[in-house]
Amino acid sequence: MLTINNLHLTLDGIPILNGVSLDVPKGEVHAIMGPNGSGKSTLSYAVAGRDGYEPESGDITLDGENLLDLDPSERAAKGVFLSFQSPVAIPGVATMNFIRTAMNAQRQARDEEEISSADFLKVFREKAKVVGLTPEKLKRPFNEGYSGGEKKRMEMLQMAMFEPRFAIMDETDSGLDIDALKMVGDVVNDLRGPDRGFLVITHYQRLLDHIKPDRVHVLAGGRIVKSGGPELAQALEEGGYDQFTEAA
Amino acid sequence: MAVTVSLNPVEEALAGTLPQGEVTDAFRAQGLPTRRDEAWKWSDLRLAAKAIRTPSLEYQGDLAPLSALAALEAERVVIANGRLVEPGRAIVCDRSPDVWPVTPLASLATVVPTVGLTLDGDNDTPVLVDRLSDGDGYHADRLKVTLARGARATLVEVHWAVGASFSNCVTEIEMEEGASLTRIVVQPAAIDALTVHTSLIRQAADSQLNQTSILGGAAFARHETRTVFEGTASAQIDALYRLSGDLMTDVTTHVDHQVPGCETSELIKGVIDERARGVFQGKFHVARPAQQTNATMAHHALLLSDDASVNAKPELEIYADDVECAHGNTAGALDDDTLFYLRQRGLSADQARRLLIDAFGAEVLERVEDESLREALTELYGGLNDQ
Repeated sequence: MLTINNLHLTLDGIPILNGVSLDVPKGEVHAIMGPNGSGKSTLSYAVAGRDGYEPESGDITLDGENLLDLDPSERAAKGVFLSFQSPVAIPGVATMNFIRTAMNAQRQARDEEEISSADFLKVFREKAKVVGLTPEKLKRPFNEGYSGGEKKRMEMLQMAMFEPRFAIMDETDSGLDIDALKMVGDVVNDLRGPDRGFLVITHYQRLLDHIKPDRVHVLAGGRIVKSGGPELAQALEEGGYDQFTEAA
Repeated sequence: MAVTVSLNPVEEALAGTLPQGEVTDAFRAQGLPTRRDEAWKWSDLRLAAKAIRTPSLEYQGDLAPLSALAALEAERVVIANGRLVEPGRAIVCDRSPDVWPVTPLASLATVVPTVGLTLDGDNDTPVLVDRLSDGDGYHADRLKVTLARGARATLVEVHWAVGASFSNCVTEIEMEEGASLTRIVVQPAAIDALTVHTSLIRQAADSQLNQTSILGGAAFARHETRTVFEGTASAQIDALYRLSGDLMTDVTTHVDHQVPGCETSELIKGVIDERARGVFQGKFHVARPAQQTNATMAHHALLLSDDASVNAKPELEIYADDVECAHGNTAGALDDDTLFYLRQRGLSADQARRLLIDAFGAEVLERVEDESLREALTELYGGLNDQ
């Protein structure tokens, strides 16, 4: 599914990613853990195609298709979804309109029919309930006046609506209380299936109690320094990153 | 009056079109405003009015109203190249010219007959005053609108210019006690035209003005609104401008708070692309008796290209000691984080940009209370630079 091969990326002359290689097969959930500044968000921007985050070398492919040739909206239409670590607020943009516009833009790019208002509304209401956003909140402009936790709920609402083929969740757990963590777990577990993949970026074991990963990778110094099963997350929680970063 | 400047050929030609009298003497003494005049320092009219202009000929162009405004089903008054061609409910009044030293262009426009409009009672049907211009001459018009005591009305003034005409308009508005006016000023982009539109408004007690201008710029455009509170009243003076190419617009406002307890709210926003240029000058004057004045002024510009520019001068001149006055002014580009966010969600770079430009203007448009009016203005804002 998502294959990253020997990715090197420099920002403002500083090397951030130094040969990241990763393979997330169909149907699997992988977690990336790592200390601050290890390149986790840079990696997510590189996969999503943010301007300025073009790698110097290496490949990123989704089901064998080169993502690096595509612009961000094309990658989104191919099914790449990024749950942002710090989602933006957009004053003047009505929430429901925006999500529907985005959904239809993706569908159009895939030569699919637009979703009807009635179908959209039905799914929107249903998913909004799952992520715990009230109709009053949703009447506001996009993320306007939302708390950090509510913005993360909005990310999960969009993930649930878009049903992406591959989702990267960049510290979705930060700023969330226990109930919200469980909600994130519910959204992911509901989407989990043989044709989807997830890359969950986190600092903590606690999200992984709700989303059981197939593999855990430690990113330090811009490369994967250790990979293992779910027990690796437990080892990190207990022994910290130092045990691995020294090797980086 | 002593002659103090020597007029250039453009000014001589313009002076030649004016009747003898005080207005002409005043013009001969000053010429057209230039950057040396503080109130015109970013809008040098003498520099912009390069071509020698003779009086405009009869209007030959299209008389149809802007399609976006058709749904309003307004009563229409049409002034074409300065002549009243569709009077509607307007009448021509005989008034003598006025010399207003602070607004020299408005003075120049007072030498032509006044088009008078009196509005009383509750008016559900908006009045649309279309000012149409074509050719490459000079013309002026003077509109006087009186809102009778307690009257409620909507006045939409449109400047529609094709060609390289120079139109100089003045709108005088007298709001009697308790009158309420929703006023819209629209100028679609006019690549070669020059427009100066001066609005002089007097508000009696309990009157309420809600003004929104939607401006697409011109080779030279200045929209100046001067309001005087003569009784405790309120005014909202908003504008939304959207410029591209080499167009410019100048939004100048002056609110004179003479009595206690008046409320003023100004929200001016501008989107400036390519080599276009925006100018905002806002002034609140709060006289000593005008205690408990509550006045806010905000101007925000969105610059879409490296060559786009904006000049802004917010000014508060306050002589009363118990007032709440505030102003804010910003200029910035579209936010990279937001653009990337939208593109990640599936919008193309162009769609993302357009969405954010629409969102930027929404704050002004949302302040228009009437829904059909708001929809029409939203459509106009979207298409301002499509000409």
